[in-house]
Parts: sequence; C-alpha cells; structure tokens
Amino acid sequence: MKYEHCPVKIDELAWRKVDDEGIILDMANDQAHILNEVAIEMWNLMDGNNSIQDISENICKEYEVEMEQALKDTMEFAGKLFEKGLIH
Amino acid sequence: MVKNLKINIAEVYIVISSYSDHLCEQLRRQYADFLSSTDNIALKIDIRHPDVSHLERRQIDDLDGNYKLFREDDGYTFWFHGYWGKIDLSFESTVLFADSPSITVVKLLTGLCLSLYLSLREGIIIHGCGIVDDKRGYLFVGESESGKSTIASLAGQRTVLSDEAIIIRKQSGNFKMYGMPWVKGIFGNGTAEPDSIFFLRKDSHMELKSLTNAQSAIKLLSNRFYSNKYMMEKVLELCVRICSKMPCYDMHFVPDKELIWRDINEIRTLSS
Repeated sequence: MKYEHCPVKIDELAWRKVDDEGIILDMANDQAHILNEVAIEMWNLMDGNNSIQDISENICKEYEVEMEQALKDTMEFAGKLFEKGLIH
Repeated sequence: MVKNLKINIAEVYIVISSYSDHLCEQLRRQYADFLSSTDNIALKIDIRHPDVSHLERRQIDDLDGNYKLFREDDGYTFWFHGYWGKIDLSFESTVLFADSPSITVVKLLTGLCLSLYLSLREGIIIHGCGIVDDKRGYLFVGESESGKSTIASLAGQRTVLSDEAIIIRKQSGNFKMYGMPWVKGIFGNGTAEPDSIFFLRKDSHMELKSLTNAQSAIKLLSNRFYSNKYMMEKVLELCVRICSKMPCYDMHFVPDKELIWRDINEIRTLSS
C-alpha cells in the first residue's frame, strides 16, 4: 500500500463506538474487531477521500505525534485492515 | 394425526408439531421440566413430510457445515443437518421438511428457531454455564472444552441452570438468564438475574481480569449459538447492552472449587 492510496471500507460491515473503543462487525466473515481511540480516528477517515498521507497528517495534529510515527502507525493499521478484507 | 407438544423455554411458548408419535413421546420425556399447557404460542415448529419440490434449489457444499440460512422475499430457507426448511420473516413459524428426524435434530432445531426468534426480541443463546448463588446469577462463557462442565461440576450447593447453553433475554426491563435444555445435559427450568459474566479459560493458575464493555461484548457475540449475518448488528447491540449492565471478566482457572468461589466472591465484593 502506498501513501497516496485512499482506503475505503467494504460494504458488508457495520461499526459502533462503545465507550472509548470501537467495534467493527465483519458480517461476511462473521467476525468482530476492536479498535482503540486512535484507530477509531483512522477508521473514520477511511472513506475513499483521504489518503494514508492525509490520515497520518490528521493523526499528527490530533495526537501530537511525529509525522514519521503517524505514517508508520497508519500504514500498519491499514495493512491489517486490508489483510482482514475490511478495506479496499 | 398430527401431535402437538407445547413447551416453555425462557418464557417463550413453543409448539412442536409432528406426525410421529414416537418423536413426540421422546420429546415429551426430554422436555419434562419445560412442558406447558398455554395456548398463547409465540413460536411454531412444524415437522412435515419431506416435499421440497417448491423450494428454490440451493447449492450446499461441505464447508457450510450443518446449518445455512438463505434470505428469500417471503422469509428464509434453511439447510439443517441434512434437511431443508422454511422460516417466516418474524422467525415465529418454522417448517422442517422431514418425516421423522432424530430427537437430536429436533432439539437442535428448537435451539436454532429459538435463537433466531430471540435475535429480534432482545435475547440471545450463549455457549455458557449458568450458576445461581444466593440469588446472584453467574454466567460462565466459553467454547467447547473451555471448562463449562468443570465449573458446573464444582458448583456445590449452588443451582446450575445449564452447563452448555444459557439464554439471556430482557424481561420487564431487566436481563434474565435461563437454562436452555440442550443435547448434553438437562437441568431444571430455572432463571436468575445475571450479576456478572466470566469468560473461561482453563489454566495452571487462578486469575480474574476485568474487561472493557467492547471487549466483553465481542467475546459474548463470538460465543452465541447459530451465527446469522442478517441479525449480527442487532445482536451486537444487545451484547453491548448486556455487558454494560454488569462486570465482565476473563477468568483463568484451575479446577478447585474453593479457589474458584473464593476469587469470585472476592472480586464481586470489591466491585459492589
């Protein structure tokens, strides 16, 4: 996955916030996944309009982390979601 | 002549109809503690001669296991342990196209129908062991071999609702748990308000670890009977509400009655 890629969630899923965490429901595979606060922020931005670069910049501002770290974290998270088939 | 058997499981009144005297008699014995005489039936299960010519042809492969549900315009078609069936959209009326299926299939089918019925009505069936201790209901959740039967066998004087399947449903504003008569063991028709939930893992030491609402909701969801993608979102909502109402823990345990109940009592005293 490249920094310019704009990830987008697949259709057959639902998600909801529970306190400070999030739950993604993968209905096609009958699985559920948990998200922490930062992951929720990234997940919300994966709508096909924001690139990995855009999402990382947002995380940089919101959580006061270095851009290099934000890019690394966003790439890692997006990679995991891609592996699980939750984003394109 | 068709025979009707009325039962009450978790305050859901069910009628099972069949032409087989033998099957009805077997079911009557199995459900002895759950028999009912009410005419206020909520869930109908009809076992009929196997004419499936009117059903749309569906391809089933080995990977689908023993259960598969297909959405149709007027309800659902399902495949269950080698038989075809139909369920209406509200999950109140089921037809299984079979002459005289085994009692095991019918009991499993009752679980499936009840599970689907409850999924629309704030209820869920969980792979769990329910124990009542001084009016407090404890739910021990886990897959096969996780230790449910071990926990039940170490209950001592406490009441075991089931060591295999527990129904949780909202009744009059509160969650209640009930024993589900399942294949392995039959316990009495009891109920209690759940006080806390423990997700089981056999281990070499005792450890109780508090879980967040999201963590426990996912664990509860993944331990439900008969997963069904059409209802998954609704069932998750219910799991979140159940877990938000009571403390939930990961429970590593050794099969020692004194240690188990000592630790449970300690953690419940600390959290109340």
